[in-house]
Amino acid sequence: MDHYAAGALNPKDHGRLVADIDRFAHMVGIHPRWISTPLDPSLLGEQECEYFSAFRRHKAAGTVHGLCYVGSSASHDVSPRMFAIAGMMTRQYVDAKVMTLATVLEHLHDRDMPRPECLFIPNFFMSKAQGGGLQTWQIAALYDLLLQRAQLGLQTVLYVASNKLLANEYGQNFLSLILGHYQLAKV
Amino acid sequence: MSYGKSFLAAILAEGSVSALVEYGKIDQLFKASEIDAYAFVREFVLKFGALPTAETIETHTGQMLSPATEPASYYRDQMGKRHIDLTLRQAMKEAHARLTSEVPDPDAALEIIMNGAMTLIASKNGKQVSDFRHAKAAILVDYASKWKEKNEYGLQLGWPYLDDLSGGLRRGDLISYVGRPGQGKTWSLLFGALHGWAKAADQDDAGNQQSRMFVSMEMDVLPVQQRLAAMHCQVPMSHLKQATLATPNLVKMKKGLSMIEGYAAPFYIVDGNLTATVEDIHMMALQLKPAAIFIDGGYLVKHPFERDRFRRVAENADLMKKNLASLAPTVVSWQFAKSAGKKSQKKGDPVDLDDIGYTDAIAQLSSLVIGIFEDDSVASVKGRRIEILKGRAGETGSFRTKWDFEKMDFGQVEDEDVGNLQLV
Repeated sequence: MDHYAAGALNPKDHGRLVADIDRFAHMVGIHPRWISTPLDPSLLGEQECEYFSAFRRHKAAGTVHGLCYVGSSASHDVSPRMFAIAGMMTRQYVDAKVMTLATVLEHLHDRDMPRPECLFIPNFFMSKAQGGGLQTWQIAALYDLLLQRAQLGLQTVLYVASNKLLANEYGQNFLSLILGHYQLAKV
Repeated sequence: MSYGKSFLAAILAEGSVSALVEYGKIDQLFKASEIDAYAFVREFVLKFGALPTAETIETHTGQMLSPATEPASYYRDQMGKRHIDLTLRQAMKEAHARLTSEVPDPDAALEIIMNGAMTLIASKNGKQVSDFRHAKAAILVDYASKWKEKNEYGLQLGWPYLDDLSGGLRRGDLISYVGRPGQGKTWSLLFGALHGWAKAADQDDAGNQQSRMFVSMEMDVLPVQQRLAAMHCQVPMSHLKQATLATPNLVKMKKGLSMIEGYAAPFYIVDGNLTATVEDIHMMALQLKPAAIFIDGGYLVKHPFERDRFRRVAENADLMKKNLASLAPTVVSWQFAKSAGKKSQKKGDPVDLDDIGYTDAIAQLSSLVIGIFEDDSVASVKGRRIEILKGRAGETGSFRTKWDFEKMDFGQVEDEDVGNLQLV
């Protein structure tokens, strides 16, 4: 496959990335095509453009902990959007990683949670009705994760189906943390 | 020939105040005809924090220094032997007189011999044993030398974080670079070796002796030369290796390589396959007199009789500290054990000195130990993480270095990039 064909990559800047693109894509948790394909500008809303443009400044300043997509729609899935953004970041050598909630919980349980510069969790909160529902220790561990990442100046991008249900199931303090320190983007 | 005056001339030629300090107060090794010059040099250093010139010594003491063709350590050894010889002869003469007098006194003769021997032993161990009551001179001379001498006159490795921390590395320092295979030890070592050498040449600073001896245990001379050329001339290594340099880069490289022919300080590259033991490297260093020694692949250095590889590496680290670092600051690359690879996967579990492969001796003997790490992410294409695992005074910390094979830049990342991401 010609990874330069789509025009997002060029041999001068990305030769070493392309030489090992499968391994890097695996590390990021996306298919290699997300790295080699340009980002569709129509995919991003105003808040997202603002947040991701200034990503490096957020990381350096440490005032914003991340971005939280909020909203629910039967036809909507934020995963492809996160894959595309993670691919865009990888092209610019930002250490991004997409992980499902189950994988995150497994790493937290094993105490070997990676520390990417930008962590995407496309199913961070799903209500019990949507197939979510966590045990108490898992909720506490997730709260710790968000705080620890903020302490280290690492950014986290989350998807939350409903703020109200999040407060009900994860607790009000969880919602306060997100509303207080994350930029919000509606889906 | 006056060993004492040649010793002083060699100290002046080496230009290092700290070298004089390291020998301690050694008045007893000088003859009456030499002591005034020595006393003047010590007083001068204590007062002004710099070495006087030979002319100044002659003006103030009337003594002209003898020519020095060998390192100061050679003359110091000869002076030590001379001192033993003279002291023993004197003691034996006095003892003989007691034994052959009208009333022979063997006890007194024995005491004279014993006192003579004890004085010599104390003198011989002078560097190891020090009386704190007489520490003033050593401390003030060292202080003044650091205050006076420019930092860049020590060995600097090109990463400001590390250079500020070390204050310039000096004789006696063993510096260890540790990394897993393929994580950039050789490039980092070459970058460090090239930095001070090229900087001194750029500044046309003949007084700043920055010659190098680079011993490669893994690579032939040509690949090392190619890497150095690519770094120094800032042309892509891959294109140089494949002979596909663009014309401007080829011109740039030719110009750069022509320029270095005029540099004052030599940069010796030694094929480790030919100088396999520490003793071989030591002999070569005595001959070439480098201002800094670099050994790429310290764990591959051979030992004359030790076959067990763990003990061999421990023995060699000890020999490098004793024999090589005493000639010039010595930078050696080593490997992390496999345990480091497993640890780095567990992100919260830092790699430390216990993870250095083969032996604890490396950490114990090194003044400075730095770990070179490649993160498990795409960021590793553009950089490496350097961790200070051991500082001289317990300092720790970390920084990132560039890993740019286009511009051949392996310098420290000093300002974090906060520019906009391109949303394309």
